[in-house]
Amino acid sequence: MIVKTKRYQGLFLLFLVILFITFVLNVSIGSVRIPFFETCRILGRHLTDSVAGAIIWKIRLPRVLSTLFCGGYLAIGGLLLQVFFRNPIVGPFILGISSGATLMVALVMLAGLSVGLLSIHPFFLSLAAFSGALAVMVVILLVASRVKNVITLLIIGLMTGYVCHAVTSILIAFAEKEKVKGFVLWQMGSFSGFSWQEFYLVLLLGLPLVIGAYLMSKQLNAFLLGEDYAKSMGVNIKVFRFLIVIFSSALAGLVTAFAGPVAFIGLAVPHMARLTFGTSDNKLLIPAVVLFGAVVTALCDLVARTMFSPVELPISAITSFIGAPIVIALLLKRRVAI
Amino acid sequence: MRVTLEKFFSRAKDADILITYRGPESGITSKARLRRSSRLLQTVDIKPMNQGRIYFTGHRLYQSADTAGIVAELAAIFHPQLFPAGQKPEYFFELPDNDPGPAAGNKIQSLQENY
Repeated sequence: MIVKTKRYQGLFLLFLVILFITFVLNVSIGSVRIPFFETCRILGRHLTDSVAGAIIWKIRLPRVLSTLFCGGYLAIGGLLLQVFFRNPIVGPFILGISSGATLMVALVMLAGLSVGLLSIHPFFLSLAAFSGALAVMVVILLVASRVKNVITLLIIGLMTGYVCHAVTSILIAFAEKEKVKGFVLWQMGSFSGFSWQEFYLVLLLGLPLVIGAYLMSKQLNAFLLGEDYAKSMGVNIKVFRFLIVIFSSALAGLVTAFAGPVAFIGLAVPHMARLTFGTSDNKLLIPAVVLFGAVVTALCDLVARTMFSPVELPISAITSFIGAPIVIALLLKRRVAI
Repeated sequence: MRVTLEKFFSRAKDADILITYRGPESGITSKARLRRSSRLLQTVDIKPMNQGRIYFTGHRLYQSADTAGIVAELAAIFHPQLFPAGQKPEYFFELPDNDPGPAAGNKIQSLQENY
């Protein structure tokens, strides 16, 4: 037991160091070359007037911090749903959250549902995405209170996603090509253009949900052994189901609102953490998943913006490209059941 | 193609002229509207937004085979002193600083007609 605890402490420490290195790499590397010591000087003296200072303080820093937090949120959303559905191929978008967000953004960008605004403010787009995700979440919650079987809920989520996707496709078919281009770029997902205000919003709205998820780790552990066992342990299944759907959907919806749909992180990162730590104990897994999610997402974002610089690649392409082989390799060496 | 914001910012910071494909059709009828529609321009300042000039491209640019005409218009934008003033643009249209009010005449309308 003591050996295991020491191992976990060691792993957490290692991942905190990796997280710090990832942060430093993301701040100091970009399509505009700024020497490392110059970056340190800009950060240390809070220099924002020069081009390099504005790039570091106004473009890179809010982006890096937002990427780290959003990655953690997506991973937690995925973990919660994987435990809830006891299904390893479930991600935070499985309940149609991203499809709902995409549909609302399509309505705004392609169908001109912009409440009379001639040009679309980026924040309005985020609001539309969040309201789309929220609408789907409400539908799922209403269904969740009536449906007893979690698999039925999963299928209803998938169907909701299909319906949203179908409406979006029809909107694309009738839209002008310039608008479709903007929409397709949004759909690819990107952490580009995060401002400090948006970062604070992501931080304030998401952090309570992560803490809430951590406080539920005991119930999640009980749920791993089946619904009946959880009931016998005193878990109020109705409330628990309600909270899981709210937490995971809100986290996924929050990220989608600002960065667009970011694939793979929510699905794969919980596996990576589970297999690396060799445990299914959610008390350990939740902080581990946050760390993993932050590191993987930030590294993928770094690759996306530097690989073919100054052209920026869609983040979802990189997350899937890098993450899928890692998960396959980990599964082949797997030590714990998923 | 999506260029990174920092690369765009480093190039556009001290530029005199910015040419964008976003015009009245995308709801961009003035520099003020362009600023409102962009996360980056709300955070950082680039010279074309204040002292410089911003042009948007018209439909004809993508359909025209008149390369000489396009180059001539670009030359007139970059070196206006070498060309006679008052020539009607065909491919590139300048964005005003702000949307004109009703009293100032419907400049947006005229921009869109040209476009």
